[in-house]
Amino acid sequence: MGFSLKGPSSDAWPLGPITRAPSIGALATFLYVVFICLPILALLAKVVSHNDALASVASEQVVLALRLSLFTSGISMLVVATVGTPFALSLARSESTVMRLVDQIVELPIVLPPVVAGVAMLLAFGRQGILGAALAQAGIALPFTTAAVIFAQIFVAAPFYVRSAKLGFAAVPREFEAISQTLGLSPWRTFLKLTLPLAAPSLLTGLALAWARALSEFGATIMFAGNLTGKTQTMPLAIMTAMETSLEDAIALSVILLALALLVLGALGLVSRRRWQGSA
Amino acid sequence: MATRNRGDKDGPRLRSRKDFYSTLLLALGLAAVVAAGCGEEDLSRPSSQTSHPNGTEEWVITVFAAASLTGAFGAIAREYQHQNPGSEVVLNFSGSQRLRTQLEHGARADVFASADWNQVNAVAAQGLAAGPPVNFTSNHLVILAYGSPGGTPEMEPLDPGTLPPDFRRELETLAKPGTKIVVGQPEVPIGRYTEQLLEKMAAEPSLGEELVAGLRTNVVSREASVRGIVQKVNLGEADAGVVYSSDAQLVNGEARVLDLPNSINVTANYPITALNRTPGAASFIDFVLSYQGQRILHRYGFGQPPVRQDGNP
Repeated sequence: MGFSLKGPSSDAWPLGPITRAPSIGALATFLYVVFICLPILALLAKVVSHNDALASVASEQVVLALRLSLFTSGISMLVVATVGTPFALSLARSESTVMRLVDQIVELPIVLPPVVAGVAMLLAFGRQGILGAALAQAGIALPFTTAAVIFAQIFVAAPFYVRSAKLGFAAVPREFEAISQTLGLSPWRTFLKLTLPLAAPSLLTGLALAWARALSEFGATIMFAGNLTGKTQTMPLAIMTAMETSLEDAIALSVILLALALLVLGALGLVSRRRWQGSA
Repeated sequence: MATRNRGDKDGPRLRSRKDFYSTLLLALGLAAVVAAGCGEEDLSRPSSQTSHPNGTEEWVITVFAAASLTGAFGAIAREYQHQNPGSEVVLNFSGSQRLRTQLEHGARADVFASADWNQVNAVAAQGLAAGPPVNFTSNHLVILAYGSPGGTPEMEPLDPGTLPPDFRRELETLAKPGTKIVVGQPEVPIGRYTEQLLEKMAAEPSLGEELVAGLRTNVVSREASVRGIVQKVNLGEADAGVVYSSDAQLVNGEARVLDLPNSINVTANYPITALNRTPGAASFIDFVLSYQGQRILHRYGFGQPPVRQDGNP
């Protein structure tokens, strides 16, 4: 970009007691890393100690579950980004009472226990649900389909993206947008060339969070979409299924899911950093 | 403390935007306090029984029981506590397989009541059982169906041992294309028993393989627990499901219970075992096996244990 822009400038951040007392920071880092890493390392250790753990779960069922997870979470993120981005922008920009009320309900799906979210989706979109008769007339039956998996993922994951995207858009100074438009850029080009790049790190962070949540979605899926291999059995459901016979198999599957998540989140982080540096 | 909330993935709601970090810190602090407070209780708590049940001191019996026993064992525990002042029965309900995993990984309990001999045998093989497991009750299968059968009048109660034409008509309705059937996944007991039921149906000349193939095609979900099956039929999202007779009391709305003839039904025997030699464990098991305990189980839809007590049916 032609001019240098910074978000919330690091200079403006008060050098508070936390940065002056590195021991507290170090201790907190240590506690956090141990708390998060120990259970995950324990999983890895279990898989490593169980020589053929990964080979024993390399079945067709797992391949189907992995593919279904990637496919459904991918579609979910496409929908979340497409609808969530303009929605988050209007949340950040609008000052109307209605939008402020809407803002309050954005996070409701996070509070709802996932299984209850699944029941709620059945009550809304199921055969006996509120929209059931209308959907049936249109020849649509959602429960127990792959579409239901995507519905469930969007329902539970979208708030993570919208919340983060809204914060990102809100942090873009409106003066910049005003200046850009006085310089002759159309509102649409201003959004693409200025607002979007500045908010990009927040959008990508939100997308990563939402994707992770969609990938791990279990409760709403089993309630609304059921558990059928190749059709609605995503990785978390396959892990749960494996858990019933062999804990080792379930752990091996979990490690596969973790590796996949790490890969995608790492890639997103890389993109995010490049974006950030590019706009700074 | 008996109702630990497992698998709760929901974080605290972050209402405030500015105080994100302080909220996070607070939540972590709270979590630490709660964890510290609960750590010594619940599953990791050793049996705190110190005296004979007939004594005056207080004692606690921790019972791990199959999820299908939730209603019946709740009632049994209340009655046991009523009759044994000073006793406290802590119940932990989950799938038998999950309970077994918890026990194998160090969860402390005094009694294990399983829906399935495999799990009890596995626990015994690890040296965790304090005595031979015994059958204490049994369960059989029923079909839950949503809505009234298409075109057929209300079914007569089944004469055990015969297959009335109504029964076949009901199954034919369920085998029609587009019908939605939910069953248990083959890894859990209800799924395994359902598989046995389908095999018996296929072998029955008056039903036949074609009918069973139609039923199998209509399976839209393989649930991890009986509760999942009951919920989906109760909500009317599935047309039918195979569950235990002990689940029949959970049926509501337009769902109804379709009894199965004895000739094709499958019986599930429930074993119980003490996990240590404490008098509390023994006295609780005695109570479950007593006339009173059996009467409560019967009230919740369970059947009598088999006369022979030689393990796997």
